[in-house]
Amino acid sequence: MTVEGIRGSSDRSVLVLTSLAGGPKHGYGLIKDIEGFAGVKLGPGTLYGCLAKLEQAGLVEALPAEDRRHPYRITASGLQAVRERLVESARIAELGLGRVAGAMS
Amino acid sequence: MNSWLFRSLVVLYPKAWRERYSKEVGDLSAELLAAGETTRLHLALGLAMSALAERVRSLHRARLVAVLSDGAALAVVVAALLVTNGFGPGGSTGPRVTPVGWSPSSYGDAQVSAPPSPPVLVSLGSGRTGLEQVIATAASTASGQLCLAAPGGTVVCLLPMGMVPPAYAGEKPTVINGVPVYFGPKGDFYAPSLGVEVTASGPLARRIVDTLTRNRIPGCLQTSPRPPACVTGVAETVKVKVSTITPAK
Repeated sequence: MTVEGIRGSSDRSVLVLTSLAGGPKHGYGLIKDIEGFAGVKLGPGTLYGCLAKLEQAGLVEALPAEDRRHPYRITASGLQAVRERLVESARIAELGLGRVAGAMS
Repeated sequence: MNSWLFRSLVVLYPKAWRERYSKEVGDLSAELLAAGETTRLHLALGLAMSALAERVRSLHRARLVAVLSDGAALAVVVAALLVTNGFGPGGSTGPRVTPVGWSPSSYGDAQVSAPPSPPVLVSLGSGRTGLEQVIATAASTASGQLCLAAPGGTVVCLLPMGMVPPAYAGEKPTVINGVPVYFGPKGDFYAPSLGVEVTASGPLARRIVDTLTRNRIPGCLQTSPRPPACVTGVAETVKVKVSTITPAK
């Protein structure tokens, strides 16, 4: 997946990037954080599927292991990519909310 | 998580993925189980589904690589075809090999080109048995006395050869238009890959030898006892004087 590829990626990648935008986290921390802000509980396989794609795209990178925990952090490219994706989502959300409000009034 | 079950599930992942992430996934799974965040069954199902997704993704990548490889192979084949048909630097009658206005003459697997003026005598396939074919690109004194430099003129002969003389075989060949050529001491050039010896003398000798390339109709030269001359379809563009001719097969 390329930086551009995140546009067509699943929401899970955005969730992982959004979580890591708040600071480096290991797998368990990511799962709990995402569950907290999005209500989505990722399994280990799903989480590492996302991390593998994001790492391959250079959007996240692994940090040295801490005991049995393996933290990741978002890269500059990852921040840029998730920012673009969230701005786009926000624009669509604003447009959609406006239309819904108009339809309901 | 039961280590046997975990190992069985991890094997389902592509090797590269497994080598990079299996330990981390195992550690995370153990942490989630210890924290009571999930069950073994849920974990097993999730890992199996993810392994399937990774396999599919891996297959797509492999297919992409295969497509790119096929494309590269196709490009090589097309390039080879272009080159051997005169569209590349090593081509037979391409403009980079045959200068504008020059006429190519072929003998066996070899081809040289000569200008229409000044007079150049190109002799093909003469040997001990005598002249087989002479192509003169301008008025010349073509005769049986071939491959002898006329005063002030240029003579180029393409003769059949079997092997590079041992005295030169150990030298590093010079590559002319993709053809390895060994230089002899007296203006003779050996191109074993084309099965010819080129003898050239006169002011344009080297320029003509520099047009040596592979004939676009390879394989028409047969060896002993008397190789037939093989002239490509460009023969009509030059004057041809025939003393003895053996039809091309």
